[in-house]
Amino acid sequence: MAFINPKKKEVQVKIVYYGPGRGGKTTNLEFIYKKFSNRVKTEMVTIKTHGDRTLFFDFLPFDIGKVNGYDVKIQLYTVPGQVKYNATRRLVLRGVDGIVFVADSMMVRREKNILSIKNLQEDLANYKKSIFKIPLVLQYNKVDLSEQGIPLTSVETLQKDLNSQLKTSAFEASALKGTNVVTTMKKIISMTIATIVKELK
Amino acid sequence: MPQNTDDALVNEIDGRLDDLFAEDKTPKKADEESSDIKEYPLKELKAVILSIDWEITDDAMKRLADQVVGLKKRYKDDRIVFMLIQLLGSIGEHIRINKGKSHPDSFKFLNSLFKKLDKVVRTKGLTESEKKKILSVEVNKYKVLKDKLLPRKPVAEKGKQVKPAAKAKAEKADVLPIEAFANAMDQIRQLIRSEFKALRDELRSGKERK
Repeated sequence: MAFINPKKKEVQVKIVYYGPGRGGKTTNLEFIYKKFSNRVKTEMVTIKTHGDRTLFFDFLPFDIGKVNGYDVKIQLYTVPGQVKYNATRRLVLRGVDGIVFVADSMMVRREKNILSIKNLQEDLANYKKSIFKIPLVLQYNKVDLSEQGIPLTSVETLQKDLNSQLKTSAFEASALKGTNVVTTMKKIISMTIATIVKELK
Repeated sequence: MPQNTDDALVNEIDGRLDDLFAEDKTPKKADEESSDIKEYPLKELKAVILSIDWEITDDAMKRLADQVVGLKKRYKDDRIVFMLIQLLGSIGEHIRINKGKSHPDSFKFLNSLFKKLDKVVRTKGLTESEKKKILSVEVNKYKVLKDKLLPRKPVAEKGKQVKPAAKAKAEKADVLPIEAFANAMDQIRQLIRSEFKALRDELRSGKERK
């Protein structure tokens, strides 16, 4: 459940970008930060390590102003995608309100996507949350690579692999070029806030 | 949070988000790039660099070496592209030898080199001086990385001389790892020297031709 401060009339919404390593989670946040830094007016915190990989997490907080009289503060996080950082990934998921699952469209990463979404299900179960109930948006990243002849998994296959049971919103995207990065983010924020309100009813 | 109808709320949120993040479409930066993607000569190289970024395998390193050889032949008359490929081959060799223990900056340099190579190959209308500038930036990065890779000579501290017997014992215990490390460093040193010699020769011959 989101952190709500009735005195201050403030709601903090935590959204986590989850997915296999090198899938483009950090690139999503970096695009948002670079493109809208003059509007979000906050700093992006990122902790990287060996070879520029996310070791702990990236963190981008921003306010979207008042909704229904409440100040809504959004916090975007990424998790380290590499398998060896299982514990860190779980820790970042604590208190999550909404998830963007960033899948890698490259054909060679098909199995990694499937494995990662299974991990997500397990990690959420650890916090007694269901992947079928939490607000979740799928993003099929790196579609731009097809222009260079790099073999990609078709959207139909990705949908079958990842979304056949979830049946949630999914977007083809290129985090590097910014295609559908903001659309994905808007969708998850909107879904998450609507869910929080419903839970409060 | 006070309740309104769901639709009104969603509309309000969407409105807020639209105000904050208007204009989702990013203009393509590649306006000067060649659109002839079908004949993109770096396709395989890009695929292999993406693979290395994910995992350093013997197969990926072999594919990189093959690509370097092939592209060197293809661009033998284009001095700047040739030298960028040569640098790429050189850093690829370092990664092949050291694999996951390669210096972290070597991966950044590999990616940076590819980006620049891609730019030089694909951008129509780049002047020779612009290309030279790109190459010179990459050569400087190479020098910086080379300095990081070369071992610093140990400075003997006064009064901390190791007793011969203890020294011999230590040497005996470490003989294999030290030898292996020294061999690897020698290989890298020789490689860097030969690459730099080749680069200097190329630059010199370029100036003379002018």
